[in-house]
Amino acid sequence: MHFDHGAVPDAYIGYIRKKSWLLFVLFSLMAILFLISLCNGAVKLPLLDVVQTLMLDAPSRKADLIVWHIRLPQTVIAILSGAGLAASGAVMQSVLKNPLASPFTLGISHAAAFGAALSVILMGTGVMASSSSDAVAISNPLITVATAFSFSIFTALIIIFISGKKGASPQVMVLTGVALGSLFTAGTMLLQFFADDVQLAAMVFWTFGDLARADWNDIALIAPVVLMLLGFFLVKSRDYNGMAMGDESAKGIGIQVEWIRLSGMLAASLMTALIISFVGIISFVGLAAPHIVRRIIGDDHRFLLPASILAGALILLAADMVARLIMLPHVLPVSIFTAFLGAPVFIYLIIKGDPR
Amino acid sequence: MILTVNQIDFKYKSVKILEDINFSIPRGEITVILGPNGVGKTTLLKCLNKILTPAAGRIHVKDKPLKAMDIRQIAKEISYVAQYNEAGKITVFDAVLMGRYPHIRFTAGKDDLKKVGSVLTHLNLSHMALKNLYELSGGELQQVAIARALVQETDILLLDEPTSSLDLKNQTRILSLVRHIVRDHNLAVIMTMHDLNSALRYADQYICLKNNTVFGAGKIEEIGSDLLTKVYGLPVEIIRHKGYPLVVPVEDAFKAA
Repeated sequence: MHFDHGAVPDAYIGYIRKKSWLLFVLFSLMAILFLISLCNGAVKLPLLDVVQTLMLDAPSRKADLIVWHIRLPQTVIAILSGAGLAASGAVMQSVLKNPLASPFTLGISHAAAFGAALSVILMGTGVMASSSSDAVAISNPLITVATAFSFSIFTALIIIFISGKKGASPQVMVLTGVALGSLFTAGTMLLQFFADDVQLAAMVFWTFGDLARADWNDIALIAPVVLMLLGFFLVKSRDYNGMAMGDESAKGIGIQVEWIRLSGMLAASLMTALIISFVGIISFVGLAAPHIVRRIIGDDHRFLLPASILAGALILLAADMVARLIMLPHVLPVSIFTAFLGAPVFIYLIIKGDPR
Repeated sequence: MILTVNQIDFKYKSVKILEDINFSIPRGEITVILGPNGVGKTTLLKCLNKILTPAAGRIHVKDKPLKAMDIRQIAKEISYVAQYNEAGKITVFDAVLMGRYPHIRFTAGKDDLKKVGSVLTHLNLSHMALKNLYELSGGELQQVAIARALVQETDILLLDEPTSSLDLKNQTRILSLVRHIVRDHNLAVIMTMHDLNSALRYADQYICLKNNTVFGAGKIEEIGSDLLTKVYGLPVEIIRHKGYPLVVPVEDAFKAA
């Protein structure tokens, strides 16, 4: 059977063009915010100075220091983290077919926090350090990342197992996430109870989502992995689309549903674990960004994923700027502002429900 | 024969669902799988494209063993329309485009888009190309699922209860559409069905399942009330009204039990 000599409806071409435009607008907004973020902070820099500095032609040593050593790493990590968390949330929502899935609501963030706390207490990775910005630091971030990651993956596997069981409704899964989250929070509290002052400070410090702690070395480690995983998600967007009409329909067109679900969850967990291991828990970006985007752009992953990536980056950039500027010269943890944005969105979703 | 099934057994957690199933499917005909609830009709259908894997037996598609084919190769030969389809915020055009999945390496080309356009025109669905799936009625969603299966350009089409959630008009519309497609493109359609009147009216062949195995099979004109009475455990008669066959229960199911 062959269906040739068809025509692509003009309306469809227009519709695709409109969505591509939306992506372009989001990207432009992000680029603008990126520059604004570099200009603003405890010391204001003129836009021209910033642009010159970026082009390796700094007008002053001060501008060079501020842009390259303080603001650029923080801005880059905001973009990477926001993009990564939002994409992970979007993929989790899709492969679990659950609008409430996100690293935060499924307890994966809490598991990472527990893993990090465990590494601080068992492997002594928390130390006093006398850097200009922090009194306490994680001395061996790789071990912390590895432990945080292991616990995140463990939690993700439990979620996959439960979602694989027939009749696992969104309620069941979110309740499982809440239960797992509480379990790991309790575990973290237990560790904190037995920790000494330095360890306790390292743990608490770690839990605050804070983008300022990442430097270029961290970025060199995070960026390749995040970019690779984002690429993986984008390549798989057709598979996620194919699962939109149900698992059996997806198998009928040749999609290996189990593998797509497992690889998606593992990649999303790796991304989440990596990001929050370096910058701490940043709540709600993974849930809110994909949802805001879904309402505007729909469930087509060819557009949903890039738009979520851009929206996540945008939200975290904005939250970071607010956190840096609202109480100058104090810098507040960025997770406070993502929660201030995310919680109302979450409540709105509960009240409004899924449109379908 | 485009599809042959030899001695298929299927077990679910050591409970036998299907036992020693044998049949073959010709091109250009609609074969309907009949039988009471829970006899394994849908299970059998899902074994045919490896959504489920039989415990024993052989299935051949165009003389190639199904076992040796991966799920993508199978999707180039056999398309499948599930009984229930989820409806997300994705357009009809994009949902139908997913039927090209087994043929696309990286991204959909112009040809793929044209084929979708052609199928939508063929099924009179062009006007809803940009509607989201969740805005459709049950009947429209079923037609989209069939359109998606058609754009897959396979020679075998599996339909699981294609009319179960449809009203009378949509039932006849979908089934006559399927019959036209089968005739026009010389396809093989295998479908499960509860509605005996529709089965007798639109199918060419039947396979009756009872007690986990094939109880009877043959040309649909040859199906008798004796066989249906035995398979469904209820006395029935087949009468004709204006040339159309009708299955009428002649005793209360409550009494018969």
